[in-house]
Amino acid sequence: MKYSYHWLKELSGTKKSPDQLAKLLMMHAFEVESVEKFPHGLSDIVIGEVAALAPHPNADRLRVATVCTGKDAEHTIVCGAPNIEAGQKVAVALPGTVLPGGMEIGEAKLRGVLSQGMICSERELGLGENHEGILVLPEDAPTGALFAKHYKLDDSILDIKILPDRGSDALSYEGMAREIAALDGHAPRFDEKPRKIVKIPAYNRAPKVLLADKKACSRYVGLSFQGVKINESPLWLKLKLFLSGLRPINNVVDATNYLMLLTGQPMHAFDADKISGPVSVRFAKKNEKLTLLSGATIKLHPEDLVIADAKKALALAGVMGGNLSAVTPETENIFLEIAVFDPATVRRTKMRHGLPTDASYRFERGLDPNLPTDALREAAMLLTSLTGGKLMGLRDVYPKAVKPWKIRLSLERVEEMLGTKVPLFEAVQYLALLGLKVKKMADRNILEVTVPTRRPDLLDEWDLIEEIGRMRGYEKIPALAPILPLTPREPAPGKTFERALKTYLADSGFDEIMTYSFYAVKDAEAARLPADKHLVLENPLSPEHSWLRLSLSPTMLRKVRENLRYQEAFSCFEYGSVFRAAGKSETPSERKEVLLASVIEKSEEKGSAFFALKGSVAAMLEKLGCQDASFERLTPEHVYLTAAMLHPTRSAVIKSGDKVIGLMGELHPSVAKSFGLPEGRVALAGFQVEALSELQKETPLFTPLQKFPSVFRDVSLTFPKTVIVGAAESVIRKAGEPLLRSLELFDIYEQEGEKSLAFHLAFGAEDRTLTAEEADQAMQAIVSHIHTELQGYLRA
Amino acid sequence: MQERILEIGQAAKSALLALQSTEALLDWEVEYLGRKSELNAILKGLKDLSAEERRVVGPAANALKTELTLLHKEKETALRESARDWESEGIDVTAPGAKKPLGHLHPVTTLEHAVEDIFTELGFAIADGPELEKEWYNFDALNFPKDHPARDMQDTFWVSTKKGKDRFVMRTHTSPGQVRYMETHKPPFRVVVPGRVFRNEATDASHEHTFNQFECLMVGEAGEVSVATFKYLATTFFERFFGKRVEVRLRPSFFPFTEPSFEFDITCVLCNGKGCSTCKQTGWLEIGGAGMVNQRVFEAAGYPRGKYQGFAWGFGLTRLAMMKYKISDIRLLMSGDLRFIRQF
Repeated sequence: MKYSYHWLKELSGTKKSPDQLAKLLMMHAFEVESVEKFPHGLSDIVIGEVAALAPHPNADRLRVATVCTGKDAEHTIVCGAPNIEAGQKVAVALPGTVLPGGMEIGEAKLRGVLSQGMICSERELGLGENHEGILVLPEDAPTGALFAKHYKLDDSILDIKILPDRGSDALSYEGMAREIAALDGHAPRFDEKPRKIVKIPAYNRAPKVLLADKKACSRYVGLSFQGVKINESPLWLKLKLFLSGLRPINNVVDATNYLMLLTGQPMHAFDADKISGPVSVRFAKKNEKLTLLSGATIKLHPEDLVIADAKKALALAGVMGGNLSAVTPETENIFLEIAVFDPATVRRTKMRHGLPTDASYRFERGLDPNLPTDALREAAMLLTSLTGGKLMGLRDVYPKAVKPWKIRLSLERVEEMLGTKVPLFEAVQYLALLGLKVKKMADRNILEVTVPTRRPDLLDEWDLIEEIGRMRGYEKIPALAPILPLTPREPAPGKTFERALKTYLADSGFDEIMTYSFYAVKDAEAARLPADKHLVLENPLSPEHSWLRLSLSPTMLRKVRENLRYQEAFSCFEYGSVFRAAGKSETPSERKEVLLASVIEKSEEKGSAFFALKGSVAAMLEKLGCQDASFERLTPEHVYLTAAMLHPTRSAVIKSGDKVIGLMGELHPSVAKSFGLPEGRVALAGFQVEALSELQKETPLFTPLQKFPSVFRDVSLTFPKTVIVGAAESVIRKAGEPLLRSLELFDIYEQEGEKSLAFHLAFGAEDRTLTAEEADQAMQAIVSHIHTELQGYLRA
Repeated sequence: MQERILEIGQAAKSALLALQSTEALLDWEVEYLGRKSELNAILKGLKDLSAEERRVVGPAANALKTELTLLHKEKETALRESARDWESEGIDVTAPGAKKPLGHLHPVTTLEHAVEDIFTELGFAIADGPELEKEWYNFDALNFPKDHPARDMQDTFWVSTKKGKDRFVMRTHTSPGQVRYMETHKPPFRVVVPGRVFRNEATDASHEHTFNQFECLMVGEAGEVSVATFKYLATTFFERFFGKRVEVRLRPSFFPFTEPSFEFDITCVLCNGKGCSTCKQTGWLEIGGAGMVNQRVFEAAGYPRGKYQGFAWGFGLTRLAMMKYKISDIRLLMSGDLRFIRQF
């Protein structure tokens, strides 16, 4: 809320400057978001008196005024305003003055008469919309004084952030002034003024008030005024509203707005002649409609609380008034509502109809049901004096009066919480300054504190400790190392694994990216992900970010495309959560995945992208302790969410033993196309983190080193094209037992329906150096097995 | 005799220094170390000398032989190596080495690790929590009443779920981790929960709807963990993190899940509190929110009211990364742009 410094000063009695005040509030109460000089732009406007008025010689509608702005300072000003009269006090812009609208005033001849300045209208001063005539100032305005200074427009505006728990007291000038005075160490000045006494006529003419639900409306005060004149507000009132950022409308509306700012109590004025019968506060009926002040007609919900008369709904309680019963220039009689509504009810109605208003903002934070007691006095005085109306009746329906409550506070607890001792007298002083009553108990360490009803945020001991802590100042609390038993911290295997995996991947050439957890429907479609497995946001920021990611792939592929604008080949990964919609009986699920992507330069060789990434994947699995990783061609029998985005014949399931731990492959050509990516250059490998983390490395046990050297043989074997490397390797390994120590494929060559595989083979024995003959025998065994089992033969 | 040995030595050394070819070295070897060399003759003749003379001449002659043998070997190596045409074998050492891939961790990850390390040294456990969170953990258990404006403090992404079940949100903070951890642990404990959080607000250079946070929770019996403890811990953490003296300042605030609640600032690490453009001339940097755990949160986690006491605080890892690396646009962090990632 924005507060005028002058007004706060007047009510609180503080002597601090705006900046000092902001600092005081920051450190002890509220965050002050800004302190700004009020941008009135009226520094040079002076108060003048129309000393004489004469007709303009050449124009019927203009008059020539002699304006006095001090001793010996008379100016001839040509004025066209119909309301100008001799003897008026006016706001004068003398030559050289720049008006808030940017217009500079100079001397000018108007129809032959020299005009030495301008008498300003409200609009020209930027103080309102009125431009039908000049602004006439009150008679007591001092001639020659600076306008802005006299009316305290040389103000500072403090934008103070009132947190949700203090809406009840601090969203008002009086509440803020009370807080400031407490921090200054005295009582607020406005409290020193005597209470006004409201005289209620013996015959109560106010309509009866019926509350349908005591919880939804805890108190309803109605005041009836007769014979009111709807008019412009006086200047002081307009300026007060203006400084707090509200637009003056008419004396009745302005008075309710002013009182809301002053006391925190929203009020609503009805045209009493538009109300028939008693006033009731009830929930809306089915299909009931209401046309609001804004002109919009809404269909009410049965949980909307309304103010109604015998026939119809008149207003949306605590949110907005209705059009039909609104105060108009013709209004003569007023029914003024000063009520307290249930916060949750108001909030739901506000949300339902999208109607945040100044009133709903206060009601949804919870108001003190005793606040209307003071507010109605102020209202009665102000409205009668402003409108000339008479108070004709008052209703106050308050079924269950809220009384101040007591809290026992242990000083020991204060010390335990704050970590520092607060002397008894200090604690008592802080609480008393805030308007809490403190009673010392027999036990010197216990205080009984009575909380006024305007502070519903103070409900228990801890709430009071906060008040003491902040009043005293948190800077007085020392930093103290705790004394605690030496206990080992609990290990976090999941986080340890995450860190090891990310660090390994980065060290081995993958850049880590982070992308949003949301994507668009079209991204899911482009990546061929099933729509029905996705979770959807109810209130996305944009359609681009409306689905929760089911896979890390769509955002990864978008980022790959963006990066391809700057580089040809790269590798990156993302580690993050993916989300999946629930079946009928389950809850939606979330799990961590890691996705590796590699992009290679353009290559003629088939599968280059796949094999480039496969090398990294194999190394990663070895690093993670997986001794038995294998890759199998992905087939239609494998049902995985992300299988459809991979190339049907260049993709694999990755297994550890019999367990599938991941999927990898080049992109399906149509997926590549959808994401604007080149074919054959991008490969992905995705894993569930949980599966990877289960590949726990067992403690390796030492095996003795081989004592006798290996004999090496390179061999090129030719097979029918359908034979896969995995099959050839397993036959060779078996046939080579027990002398074959290792085999490594170093070339693949395909031609005319045949496939040649070249291997480095190493033979050796535990107990002797092998002879060439022994190695040759082993080789022959291999050749004969691949012939019988795979129709393979040794290439010449 | 001794003098002669010295002379031989001098002559041999100066001859060795002068000679330039393998052939000359061979001649030199014959002359000074060969069977017919004078030195060899002296050594052979030792047995004919008197015991007294032998004691002096023997060691001197032997020492010279050892020395000359060593010098010969050195000269031999030097002559061999200087014969090779090194220039023609030469390479351009400024040409690039064989390419070894090296990737980069995301700066937020790097910072998360740094932060975890500090907390780990202080004896904190690390916990994890779901990003897709039940409304109950994100709000109700943390004392955000239903239909209360406190919920407006965090613009929330709601996830559509079938009616009648738990409502789910994208967690708006890492604080649900507090209750989840307390449900399975008994005080005293200290734990940090890092993670990704979401706010439904428009993105610009300084606002992101997705960012990373850290939650820190320490709970003990009443009196063991106080506001003073929090001040100590926060100061220690930031001094370690920034590697310099840092002051922590607490200001009153409101969070439903803490009482008392604070905003906390640290002295600006760029200007050391003197005032600069980063801290908007205030000398302080706003870091995060903190407070003493509200007893209602303890109750939600199943603890008895009033028995335990502790603090919780959270701060933005993303913000810390931006401060540390002087990143001017928060959107870069989620851009996936490798030109950005590779700077860290």
